[in-house]
Amino acid sequence: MKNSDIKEVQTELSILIGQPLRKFGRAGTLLTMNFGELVEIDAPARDKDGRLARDENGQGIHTKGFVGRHAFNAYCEFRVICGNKILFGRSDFFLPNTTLIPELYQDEDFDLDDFEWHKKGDNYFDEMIARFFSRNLDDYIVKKIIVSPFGDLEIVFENGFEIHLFVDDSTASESWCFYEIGGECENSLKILGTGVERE
Amino acid sequence: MKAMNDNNLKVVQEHLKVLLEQPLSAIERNESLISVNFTALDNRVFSLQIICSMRLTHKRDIILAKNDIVAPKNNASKSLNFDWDAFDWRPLGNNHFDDMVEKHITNSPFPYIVEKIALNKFYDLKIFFKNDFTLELFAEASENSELWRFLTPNHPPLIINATGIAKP
Repeated sequence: MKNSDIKEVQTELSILIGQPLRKFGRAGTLLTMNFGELVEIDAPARDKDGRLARDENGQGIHTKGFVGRHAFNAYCEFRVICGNKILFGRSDFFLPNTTLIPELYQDEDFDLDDFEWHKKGDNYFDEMIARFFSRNLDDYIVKKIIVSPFGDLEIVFENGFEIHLFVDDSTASESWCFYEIGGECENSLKILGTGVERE
Repeated sequence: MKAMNDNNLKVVQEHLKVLLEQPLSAIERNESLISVNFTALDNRVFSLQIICSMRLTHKRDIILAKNDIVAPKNNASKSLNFDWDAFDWRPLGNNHFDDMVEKHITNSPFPYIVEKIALNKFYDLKIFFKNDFTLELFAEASENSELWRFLTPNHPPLIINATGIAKP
């Protein structure tokens, strides 16, 4: 990215400085994060396995909820760091949680490729989310954001945690996106493998 | 994951030092496993086998990256008629990553000579080439997974997982 693009991204994300993380999770393999002031939304309801809930006619069920105003969606690689340790990363979507491991590997024929990682709570990522990001997140206050020339991000929190995004795509595919809940689509900021795009 | 201690860091750096001034000879792929090979003047081949995320950059551009493996070549997916269900990224030459390797490595008119190597406490590895290209590895796994390994002829492999140097 050009210096002006990096500066533009840095400036846009600076709105997050001093704001709390509200939600950190996943939808399939999409990493989702919300920050800042809580806003009410009409959201699709989900069942206990994280799938979209439907009524008897197959129609999606909606529910009221609150989310942080500023949102990220990330398709690219990421990791969560605390101090000098990587706590978890994208690869952990596809690994069983620590409770399931002994049970699954009891079966000598168990093949990791057959592990049903989609099921909410069964993979190691979900286990780590439950451990570190399921309670009140008020102490996850954004202290600093670093943008690299390739659009990589380091979001540094005051409590010592960090979230790193790494752009690992050279095409015009979306690596991550930053937008305002309820805002105008044209205001969304997208980082592609080829640079910045405004929707 | 435990961060690398200083002693481990030195051991890994010492292993990789052999790459300094050596030319990159090939980037190969077996499914999603990527091998970056360096062939010395005496024909010894050193191989960096990458399981974690990676990219090759030139100045401020990403030339190729791990996720390109699942992207069709020639921007075919931009076509409205592109059939993702029929797309199989596995065969060699069938994806954008393979295309970029052929263009920028296999058919490159200039050599990639290793100038500098940098390793941080998370096992992220950067190999800087004299032609302004850089190979970057990014550790994105907890302690349960292997990140990369380095193969030297007549030596046991150096295996790096998220808890440190693993035993072969």
